[in-house]
Amino acid sequence: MSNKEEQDPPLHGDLLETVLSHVPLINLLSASHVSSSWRRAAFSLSGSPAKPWLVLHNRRGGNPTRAYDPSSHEWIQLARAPPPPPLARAYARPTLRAAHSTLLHTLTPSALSFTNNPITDTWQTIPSPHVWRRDPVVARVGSSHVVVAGGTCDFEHDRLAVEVYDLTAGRWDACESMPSAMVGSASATWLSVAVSNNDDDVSKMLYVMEKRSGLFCSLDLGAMRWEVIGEVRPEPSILYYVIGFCGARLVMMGIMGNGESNDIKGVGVWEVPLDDHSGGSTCQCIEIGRMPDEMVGRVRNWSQSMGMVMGRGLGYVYEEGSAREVLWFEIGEEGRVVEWGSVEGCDMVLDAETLMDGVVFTCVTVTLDDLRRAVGLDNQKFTVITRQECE
Amino acid sequence: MSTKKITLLSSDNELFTVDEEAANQSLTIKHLIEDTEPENGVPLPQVHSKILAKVTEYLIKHANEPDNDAAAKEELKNWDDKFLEKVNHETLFDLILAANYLDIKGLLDLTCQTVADLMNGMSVVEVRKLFNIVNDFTPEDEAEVRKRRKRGTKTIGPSNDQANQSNH
Repeated sequence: MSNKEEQDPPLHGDLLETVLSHVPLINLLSASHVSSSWRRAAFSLSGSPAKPWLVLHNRRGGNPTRAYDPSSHEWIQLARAPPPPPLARAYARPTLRAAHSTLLHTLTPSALSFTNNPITDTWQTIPSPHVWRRDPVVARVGSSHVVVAGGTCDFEHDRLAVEVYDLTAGRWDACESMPSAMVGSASATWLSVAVSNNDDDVSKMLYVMEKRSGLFCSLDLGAMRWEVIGEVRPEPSILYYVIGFCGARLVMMGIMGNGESNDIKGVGVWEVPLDDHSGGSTCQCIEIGRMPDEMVGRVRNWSQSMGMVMGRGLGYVYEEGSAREVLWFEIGEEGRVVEWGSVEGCDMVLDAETLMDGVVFTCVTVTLDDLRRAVGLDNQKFTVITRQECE
Repeated sequence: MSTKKITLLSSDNELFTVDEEAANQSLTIKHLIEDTEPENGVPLPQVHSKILAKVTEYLIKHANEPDNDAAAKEELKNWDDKFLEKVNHETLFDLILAANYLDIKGLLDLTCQTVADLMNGMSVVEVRKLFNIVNDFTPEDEAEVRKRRKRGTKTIGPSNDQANQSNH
């Protein structure tokens, strides 16, 4: 018998977990195939939340979806795009949309299909809403509701019509229409939408902000009622507003500039407090970050087209439909922006057709289990796209 | 300010002398000094001189970490990268064990990150070899993984013709 100590793996127990906590999720999956103790360590770690991935979809569906893992700065090719949802197949090429960070959907005259997690590839299809709509806000609120608001076709009499699908009961329910103050902007093009993606959040709230004015409203699905919270205007020079949820915090990004030239002078990030908006018509926002000047120069032309998706601790900023430049910012534990950066290689991982058709952005929190189900691998390596391969 | 010197004693009885400020980055050493006030050096019977030499090199370099000086931070980061560049795997693992035992957070993060980076792009077999691990999965476990892969390829698998089909 040889010396037993020499045969022992050098790292085990807590220390193995410490090492694996530095391994990005995409490599953690292959680590779980190393041995039973590695599997235990890998899965016990996956309880801790990983940074949310950015997912790029071709707006016309079909072509492979690309995902960006911010922990490893790697691009991952999901070998097959999410399948066209069954009822939409009759329409040659459904248009994919995402009204808020975590929901990808496609609406046809006969069906509404959506998925919260394009990584695990589970699409749900429900009948289309009763009112004909071209560009509605579509949002998944909690586990059991899908809200469809505004975006109606010209011949519909109520431009503010809202319908709510109850996934448990399997039916569309009537809901109060959107506040009349939004009559000029009641479509996904002009509204930024945020739904809390906090798993343990049982709230049934949908938040909507007019991108051009900062008018801020909420829909309480418990009461099926809208409330106009007020105009959010922490800086008089804000031209354009987008919102998203970072855990339980509602985060707003505002583009500041000179109204006449449409030139961006700065980009700020604020937290919009959600508990004390009962009094007064303006919300007291808390500034939590500013985009560095050097980056502001790169987004100079986005004053009417900035988009943002976010998940826990991380937001991605881009020009709607385009993947030429995507920036990210990280929000620390204390709720302040701690770092800004640029997502490298966006345009290089996408094929020419997707760049032409337009890109739809979502953000998804991926767990080790999601990856295991999605990739189903033991080919022992991942389809990781390095930039060298793209060039 | 006078700098007190601390002597560290490795498992093979070699002595290393560092400033107290450097030594205090190791919480284990800090507590040992506070609790026992050793006269002939702090005994570290779990750390060999070969490893302790590396550890003290790190402690000395990181004794006065810059707070707001971006250039100094960058310099320190470059130094960290170089610090582990020529270290072999065995030493790297020993450094992790030492950083863990001595409770030096910065060094533990740095060494763990280096190992994590090493694993990037490795196959499972290569990882087993690197870490000296025996594959202890039963044939049933492996069959389960293979089965899952088959199911997986059906829905999102890495097969190109399926990707093409969905384009039509």
